[in-house]
Amino acid sequence: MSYTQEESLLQYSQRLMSYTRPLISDIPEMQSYMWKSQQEYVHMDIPASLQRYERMRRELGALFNRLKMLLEKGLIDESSINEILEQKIIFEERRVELEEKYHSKVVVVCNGEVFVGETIDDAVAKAKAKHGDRLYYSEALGVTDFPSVLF
Amino acid sequence: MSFFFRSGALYSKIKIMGVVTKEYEALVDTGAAKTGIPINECQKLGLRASGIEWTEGLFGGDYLPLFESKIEFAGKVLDKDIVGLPIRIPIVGRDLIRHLKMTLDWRMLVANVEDP
Repeated sequence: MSYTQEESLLQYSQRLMSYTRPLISDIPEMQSYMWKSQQEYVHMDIPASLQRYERMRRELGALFNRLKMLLEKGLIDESSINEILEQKIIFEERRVELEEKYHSKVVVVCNGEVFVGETIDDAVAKAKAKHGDRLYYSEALGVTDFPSVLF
Repeated sequence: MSFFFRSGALYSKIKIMGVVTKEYEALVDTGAAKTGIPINECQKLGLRASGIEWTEGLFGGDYLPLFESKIEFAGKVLDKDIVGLPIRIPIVGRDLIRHLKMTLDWRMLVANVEDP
């Protein structure tokens, strides 16, 4: 999936959202579960693969909104949005495998390739050595690491 | 040396070099994994976006933009990707302070860099 010049950013975001499966409630075989209240439904045994698609859809939406904000501030351009989202999609598609293999490590996806390091600096250095200035997406797997006092 | 205490917190002078170079007084935050500056400063310095990082902590997670920059810190010039944050003052994180050997006397409020 990639961004084309013919479509607007809004159309692209809609296409991106339709890339993943629809909401669980939209899937016919899941509708029999829906007779219960929303609260009970949340705690039901929803297949892991569907949960994963829901999560992917939600995360892509959140990332897209953040990138749109950066675009409005003039910090990135439209092609950068496309490139970062592509890396995020690759990461989400491989998330389960990466979480099993590289727990407590940092993963960087750059130009479709996965780089792993103990810290983000290690992983980014590997990615930059191979792909130069290409944009990347990074996530620490199973690690909580955030600027402390100011949040 | 460019470290000093203010209101009981440790600060350091850092110089960030993008299209424009600017010096800041940054809070040294040993709990922060990465160095960050206010996101509007990234615009002013003309920094180039290098990627996005998902970070998670006490108050949930967020996608944070990273920017390529050269940072002058404690006499060293380092190539680092820094985070654009919704904050008012820059913070120096562990990615920079791990380059130093320093001791801190919190009673006398003295920072001593042994091996810059």
